[in-house]
Amino acid sequence: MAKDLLYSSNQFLYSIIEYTDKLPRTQVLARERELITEAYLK
Amino acid sequence: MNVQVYALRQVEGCVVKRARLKIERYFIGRAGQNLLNVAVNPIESYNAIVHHPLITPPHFTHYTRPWTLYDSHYTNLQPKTSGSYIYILFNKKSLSPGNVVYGRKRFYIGQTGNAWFFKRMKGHRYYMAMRAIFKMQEEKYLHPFCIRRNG
Repeated sequence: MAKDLLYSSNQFLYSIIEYTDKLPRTQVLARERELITEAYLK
Repeated sequence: MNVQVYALRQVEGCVVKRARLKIERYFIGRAGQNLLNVAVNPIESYNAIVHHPLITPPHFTHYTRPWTLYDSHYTNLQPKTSGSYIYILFNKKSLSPGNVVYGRKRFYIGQTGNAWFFKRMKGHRYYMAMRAIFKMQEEKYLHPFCIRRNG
């Protein structure tokens, strides 16, 4: 992401994609890993 | 990059974590603005890093429209007053249809508690700017006569 600042754009968009307040921390981290893996495989 | 590391002090007191942190803080205070910590320089202010003259400062916008407009399947929820979230951070230019810079979307997925959400975004700005400064300094060191212009 740091390279984005140098070579392309300094504009970023962010948003919330899931609420995890009812999950314990271990499950939150597992869900985060799951989403990252899913995004990586696409 | 040429990195040098020195052991400044080795005494019995260093075994005790509290004493070691105290000594570390002392050295950080002495080094001041010249300090080059790998993770963060606690002496330099947030604005000095984010608005550093070598880089264009990162700009973050809370996106409230559906991600399907950018051909992404992620849901877009409104922040609540309490709770924790999984969030996504996109580089805006990589989302554009005529994106030829990367050829694919560039994004980051992370998780945080609600109380820390906006602080986390602030943290992302800081670390992104910090890494860009390091990258710029590294290029100046490796290619001193090559001038690259931002497109």
